[in-house]
Amino acid sequence: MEKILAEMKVDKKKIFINIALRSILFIIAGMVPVFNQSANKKAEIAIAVILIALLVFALFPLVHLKDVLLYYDNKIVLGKKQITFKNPVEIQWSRQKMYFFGARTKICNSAAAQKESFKDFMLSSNVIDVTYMKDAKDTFIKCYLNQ
Amino acid sequence: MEHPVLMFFGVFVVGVLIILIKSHFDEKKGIDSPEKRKIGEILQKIMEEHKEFGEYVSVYAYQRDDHARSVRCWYYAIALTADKMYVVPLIFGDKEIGHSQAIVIEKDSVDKIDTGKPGGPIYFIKCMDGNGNVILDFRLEEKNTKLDKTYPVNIVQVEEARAFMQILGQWKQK
Repeated sequence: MEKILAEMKVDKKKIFINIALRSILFIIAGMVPVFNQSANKKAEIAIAVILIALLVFALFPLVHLKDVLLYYDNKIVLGKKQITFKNPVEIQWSRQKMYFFGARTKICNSAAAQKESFKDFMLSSNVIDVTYMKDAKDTFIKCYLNQ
Repeated sequence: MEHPVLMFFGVFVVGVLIILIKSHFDEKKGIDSPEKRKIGEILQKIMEEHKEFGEYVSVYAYQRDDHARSVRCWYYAIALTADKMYVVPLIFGDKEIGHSQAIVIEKDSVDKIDTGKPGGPIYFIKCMDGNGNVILDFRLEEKNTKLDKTYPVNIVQVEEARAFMQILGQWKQK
């Protein structure tokens, strides 16, 4: 049985701030039918579909609510995803700007870091999104570095 | 709402002023910031581990790789002696600064050093081996201030950066 070095839960504050920011889009789009009372049924259906899509988008961070990030000696696991490494120095941290919605934080191992195209990097199975995890980077430093 | 362009311009000017005032205060903090002290301690520990008890210049440097919406940064604490360069990769958390083992580059293994435009306040440094392969590529800034998470430190190192460049100049003349 492999030894768990650290176990991190989700930072609920981060999730709710992100939902709040996403909801602004939903609220703005929700105002369209109020100001533009069209009798056109197709337009109403289109607006309803857009609103449902935006609601799903706004609440999407909730799927991460029960995520648990685990640090082992030679692997990092988040749900069904895991990245392995021989030396923790191989692990790289990257930030992806989401503009209005802040930034996403991802970690990858050397296999993913060598991907030349950005698309290949993002689709690589050796990348884990730790945006909503609490103290992921500080705990990584404490567990693997400064030794 | 009569002059939206003027309003936009006003918001822009206020934004620029806030950034300028913030960076002015950050520069003052950077002369002896906790980050600067921590990096000094890390290098001191590394130098003791490598039994280097002579004089050395320590600086903070970084490299960044921008892809459309994604940015990857590498941070280093570098100690330079007359014949060795100790490069310590750093990692910045929200509260912690981590480091891994130092990479030691010997003067003899460096064939060419490109220091870009002389005079600072930012130096683009490339160290290459005999085959023209880049061994190390980094940016050295005299004044580093916190801007976003990719610029995580307030470190002002004017004297150190100039001393570093002076020693690197001697490396070039070998």
